[in-house]
Amino acid sequence: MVTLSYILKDLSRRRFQTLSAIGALALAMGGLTFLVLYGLGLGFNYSKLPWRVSVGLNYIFAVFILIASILVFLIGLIALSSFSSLLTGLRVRDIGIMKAIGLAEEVNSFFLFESLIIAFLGCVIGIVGGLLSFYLTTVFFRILGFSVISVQPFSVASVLFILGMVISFISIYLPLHRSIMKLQTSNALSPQTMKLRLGNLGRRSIARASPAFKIASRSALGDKGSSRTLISLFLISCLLSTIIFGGQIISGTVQNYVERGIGEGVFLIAHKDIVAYYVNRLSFNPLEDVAAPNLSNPGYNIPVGFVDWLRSQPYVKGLDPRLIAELTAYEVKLVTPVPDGYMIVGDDRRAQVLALGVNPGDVLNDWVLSGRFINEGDESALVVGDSLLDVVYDISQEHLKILGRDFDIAGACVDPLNGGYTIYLKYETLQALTGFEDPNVVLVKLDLEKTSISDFEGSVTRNNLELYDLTSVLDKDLGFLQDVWLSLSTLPSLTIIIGGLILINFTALSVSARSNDFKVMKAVGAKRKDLRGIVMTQTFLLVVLGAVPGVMAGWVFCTSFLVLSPSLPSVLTIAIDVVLLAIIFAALSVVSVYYVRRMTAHVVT
Amino acid sequence: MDDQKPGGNAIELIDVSKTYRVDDRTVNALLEINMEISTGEFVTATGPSGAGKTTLLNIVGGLDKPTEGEVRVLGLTISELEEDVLAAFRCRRIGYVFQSYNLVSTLTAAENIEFAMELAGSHGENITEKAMVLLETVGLKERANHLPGQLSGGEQQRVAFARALANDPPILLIDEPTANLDDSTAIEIVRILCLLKGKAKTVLVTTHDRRIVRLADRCLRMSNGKIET
Repeated sequence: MVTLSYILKDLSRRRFQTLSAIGALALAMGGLTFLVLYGLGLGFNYSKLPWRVSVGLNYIFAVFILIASILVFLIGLIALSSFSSLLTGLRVRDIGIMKAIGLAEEVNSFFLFESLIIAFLGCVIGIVGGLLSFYLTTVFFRILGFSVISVQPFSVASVLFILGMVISFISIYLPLHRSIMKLQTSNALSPQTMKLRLGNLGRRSIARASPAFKIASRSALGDKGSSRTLISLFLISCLLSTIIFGGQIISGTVQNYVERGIGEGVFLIAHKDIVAYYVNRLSFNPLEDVAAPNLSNPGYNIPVGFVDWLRSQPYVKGLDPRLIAELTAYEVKLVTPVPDGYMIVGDDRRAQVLALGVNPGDVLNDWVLSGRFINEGDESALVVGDSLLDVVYDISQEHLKILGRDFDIAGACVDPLNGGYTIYLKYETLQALTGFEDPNVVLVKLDLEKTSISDFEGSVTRNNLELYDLTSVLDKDLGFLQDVWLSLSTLPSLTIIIGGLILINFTALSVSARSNDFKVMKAVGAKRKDLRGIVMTQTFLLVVLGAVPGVMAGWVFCTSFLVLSPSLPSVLTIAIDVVLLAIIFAALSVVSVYYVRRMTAHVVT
Repeated sequence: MDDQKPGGNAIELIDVSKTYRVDDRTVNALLEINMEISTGEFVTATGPSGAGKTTLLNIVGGLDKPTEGEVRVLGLTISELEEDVLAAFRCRRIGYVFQSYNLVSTLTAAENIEFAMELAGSHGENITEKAMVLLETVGLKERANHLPGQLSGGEQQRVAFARALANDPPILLIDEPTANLDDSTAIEIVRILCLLKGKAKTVLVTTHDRRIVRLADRCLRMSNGKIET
């Protein structure tokens, strides 16, 4: 049995490699711990907080946090696995020597314990760091006035620790174990071992290139280890750009969903009590909840004559009279025949909803819809707000019961109104169900070149009604989303920092694995600028062939699969992102050059 | 600077010492070495392991700096040169052959030689031709396109010789050239050293091989960081 002291000596004397591996794992575990706790404490629970963010919007934020956490962990694992392969390459001779002097099973246990120590230290440091960061962030958010739902950080951390230990141990130990099993002792001790085995890849095409370019290109692309580096760089860049672009796309998309749900340039006309109630229901962060007035009160009705007068005005571009009522929607269980009998779909769930009777052709909103909106012929169909989806098990099969009547669900919309607890059905249908006569809300779009707000407001107030510009509530909601996004922006920032550090760490280790070549070059007369040129060319090739396709793949993923109807960031924002990524990759070159300089400070080979 | 001034000193060491710190202990690798090697002289340095032979070579070649003393090579005090100036000097004036071959692993045999020539500022088709001539000299023309990992130890050593000669340097520093080789391969190396002697280059070789010592104009015997004779 190999004693622990040998293993500890080996690890401490390979300080740079050991610290690189532990550092990468700690960063990945710390990022994962922080993001999961952050998600559980804040991000996943927007809909449970006093704010009235719909489940759909909350879901988008939650998905983003979840993706960010998984990506950070994946970046860490990829880096760790690549580290491990690099370290294995550096250890081949050691493994051969150990086998040659008579160690058999002990070689396995030696590297098994080494892997365990690295995995344990990386996970512990990472989780402690993640917990500390979470506590500090919680304190910071509480100072800013945000609520953070309390979570059980230690139980979460324990689960993550076990998960991290198992996965990281496997990813460190497996390549070493494979190497130990496959290695022929004589090969390991041969002077040829550890030398590059270049295939035909690129040899003809670069035959006329300068030796410096050949060194750079073959180091970057030539052998199996280099291909692994390239793949790792591709994956890490892909994940990093997914976070950066994805965050911006999600932020922009959520804002776009809200703009479409409320509508731009839309005015609300109603009795002042109804205005206060409706605006309150549209606000994501109301200061206090406004109780529903008695909506059946005929005093809240908007005279049909006034609606007809509005319709006849040339400056009215759109008119959307509505009947609103607070009702309870019940899930209707469905019995579906199956080959062996029948199956019951659904439960007895219910929810308080704001029901809106609308004329489908007049609706001014342009919600993001799943399914379809109701049409003039839909007497028994309705559209539900996104939060109501939580209440219904399967919208494609189930029904909703409103005031004793069953309705098919035609579609679902992302609705900022009433936190997404809404149903839209035909005006006449709701009129028949509730017995309300006239509309109690009118939404209107005006051509402000043909009239002035004050003139129009005069016409409204003469009918004892109030005019409210919904742009102000839209602005407030968008402002609120900006604040939420600001709090979430720690995620991409943290991921960029973690990803950047891991990449830099990884680059340094890759360069150190080729330290002997650099020393030889310097010994035969290469100047610092020659070495710098080789390293820069090598990094440039890796960036062009690994990182750039990775960034592009991340962009394609974000725009195609991340979210429904994505809003793309502006050209300026994309340009800033590209500059940011370029800075990260430039940092890689600088770090590589720094390490080469440090390694070749003493040329003695 | 005249590289081949007859009778002048190509290499001159004045009171050169090199010490290393290992934990709390000071190790004297070289102790107050005074040495002169004339232009065109073929000198060997022998001695037991740890005598300081490789350190001496590294210091003469500017790969390592002395802790004390002055190192003059071709009239230039190299111990005072800046890193890049020293690299350029080494590139054109000194050919180095390492005990463990030390070829750039990502370049073929021919490219390793071309690389040394490019570092010295030569470019174009003629460096490829010159590399092939040098490989022919060391008997490896047919292995020109093989990577170091595809060559045997003796072949790598011969490529290292060809690389050392790439820029036709006036001085050659050769560290234990036959130490890792079998007898028949070692004879090939001795043959190459014979060729070098005929070219009137200043050669300093560290070795235990009697066949090489016999070739030398002078033999330095080293022990405990000092030159005894």
